[in-house]
Amino acid sequence: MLEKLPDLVNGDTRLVARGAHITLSFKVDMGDRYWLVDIDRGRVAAVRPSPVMMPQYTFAICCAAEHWGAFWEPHPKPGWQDIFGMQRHHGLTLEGELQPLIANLFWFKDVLESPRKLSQGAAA
Amino acid sequence: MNATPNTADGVRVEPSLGRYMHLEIEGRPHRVYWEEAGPADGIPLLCLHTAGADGRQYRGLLDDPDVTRDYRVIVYDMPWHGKSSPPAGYRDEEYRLTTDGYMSQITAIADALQLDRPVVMGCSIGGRIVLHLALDHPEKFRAVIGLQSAAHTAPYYDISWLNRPDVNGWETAAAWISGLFAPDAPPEGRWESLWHYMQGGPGVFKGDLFFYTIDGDIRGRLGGIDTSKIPVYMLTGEYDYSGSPADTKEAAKHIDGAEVTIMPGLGHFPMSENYPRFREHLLPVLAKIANG
Repeated sequence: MLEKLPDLVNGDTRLVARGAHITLSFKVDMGDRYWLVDIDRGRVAAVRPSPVMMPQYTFAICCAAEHWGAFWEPHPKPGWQDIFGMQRHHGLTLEGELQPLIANLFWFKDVLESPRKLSQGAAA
Repeated sequence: MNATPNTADGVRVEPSLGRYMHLEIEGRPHRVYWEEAGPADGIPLLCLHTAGADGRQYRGLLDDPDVTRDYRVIVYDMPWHGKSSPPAGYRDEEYRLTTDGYMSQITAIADALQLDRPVVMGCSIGGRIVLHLALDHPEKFRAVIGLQSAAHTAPYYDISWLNRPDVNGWETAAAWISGLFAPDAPPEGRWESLWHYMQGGPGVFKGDLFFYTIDGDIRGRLGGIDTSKIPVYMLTGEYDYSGSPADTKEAAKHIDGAEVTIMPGLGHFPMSENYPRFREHLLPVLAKIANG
């Protein structure tokens, strides 16, 4: 699922433009595996699956793999539609330097939710 | 209030009118903006907006002839919100909404407009304060309607992010609450609701959340509400994870006689995210109160 992010994001010119000031790496953690997502001025430059030797990233979004699957359903069930709903009810945690995430929250939410555009709901 | 302006063909003018009142709230001068629609002798329906927003959330209600046939709908912007002013001296204080201050504000405005035992309907923080009003001031209101009501909402994120110089507080506020809508909310309703959150004063949403997450806790006191004196209706959108259906049902368990409606396909902002769907649930409640 996350490997599709370059196609989902980079083809959306408005989304890329809105992220023009974002250059960093963040981690999507699913417990026993993770992905590093490298952002370069609003474009997804790379998505690197674990293991990554000595990974560096600005912040991490952590939740169980099956919960990400529920989040990426095309029509999520109540409580599964938003990362903060999952933070309140389903154990999602936000870790690290969060200022870039919060300062660009619409953008990161749009990126994280973009896999819903794909027809299948299975995690990663 | 009544005025019908002349307009060109093809232009539709909504029936609501807005004005400003000057009044004292807790001994302090305030200038408060309100809008209303409906007959002067209709049943007064006083509407309370959500934290960090303003009365524009109720524009669908104000423009609904099936409501304004019997009801005089009154919507005000809380001080510090929308077109209401912050009080003089605001620069030297931190805004924080308290339970007592919120109740004083509502009763002062109801008294100022000489409303005869209005129905009071509020959403989110408004859905909480109506429970306090039912408990502490049942004689002043004929019924309360709580939207997304809960007895308490513990903090589930660090609200200090909403007022920091390195974060655009209002775009962030909108982004933060953007997940509280139902997935199939019409884009125009969702994004107009979010627009309300993109506008406002620094620290105001955060100050409202002091009431929502700390001071407004009414757990342990709900059993004191007597629904034979003041009916309690609770309507909650199923996609709200903040004032969730479970939160509403838990609160209602302690209010003997409270009527709960869970609204499919709606979230935290039923009156503005999808008014046509919301009215399907609200109109029967309003009819019941009118016939009561």
